[in-house]
Amino acid sequence: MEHVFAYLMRFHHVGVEPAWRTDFWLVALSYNLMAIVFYGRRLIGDIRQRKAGNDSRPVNDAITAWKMGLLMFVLGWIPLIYHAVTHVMG
Amino acid sequence: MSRVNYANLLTFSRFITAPVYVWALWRHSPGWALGSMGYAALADFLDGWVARNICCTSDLGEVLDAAGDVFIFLTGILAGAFFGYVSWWPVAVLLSGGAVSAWGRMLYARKVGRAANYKSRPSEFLGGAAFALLLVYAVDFYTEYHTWVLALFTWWVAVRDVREIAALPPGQEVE
Repeated sequence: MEHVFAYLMRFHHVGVEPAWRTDFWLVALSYNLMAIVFYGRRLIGDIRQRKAGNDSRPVNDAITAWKMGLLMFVLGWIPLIYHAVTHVMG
Repeated sequence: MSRVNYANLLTFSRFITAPVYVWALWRHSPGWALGSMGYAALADFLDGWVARNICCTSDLGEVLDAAGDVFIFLTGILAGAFFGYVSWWPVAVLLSGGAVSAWGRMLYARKVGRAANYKSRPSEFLGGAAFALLLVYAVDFYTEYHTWVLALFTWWVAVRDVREIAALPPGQEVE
């Protein structure tokens, strides 16, 4: 398990200055927060459409898609938290 | 309506960002890489807004928009692997999922009888995440992790979308 984590969390040392990552961490955090607002509005719209009976998709698209989106979002936060603990605060 | 209009010009300008991004990865210039993708995202937002609110929604614009996304993403991710920002395995898994997704969309266009893109919420999520992937490549920010996550979701969405498309009766479009 440790090896898998180390593999997934490694840097490639291709010549990018480490300082860029710390700055980028803030960009990534902002991107995630913007995603909450952007997709949150879509979710509210989808729920309204569904309540009004206008969901034309064949396999219950909107709601199951949102469960997937939520999982994707949570997974996106793992490296953000990891980087905060190991590099930004550490 | 003329095929040359503001919305299509904006869409077309996005194609130019791909070589800039590749050059930036080659030269290890995160600023240029992030800047080029920032412009691509802005133009992607603006072309749709211009088309809907000022002029000219068209089948060509819709196809050009999807082609621009694919071109930028494909070029960017291959450049990422080529220049050593990520290993080839997750890239191969990701691109094979993308190929299945593209095949499903060709099936959809054939079913509805015109050049139309199948839009689903999951594929919309993937679009946002794919853009983020090109950003994380620019600064070598846990690229392996992000590429594997996106690869697994791409396969999930591809299989799901293809099943939905296959279940559609001929001629029915999904808005």
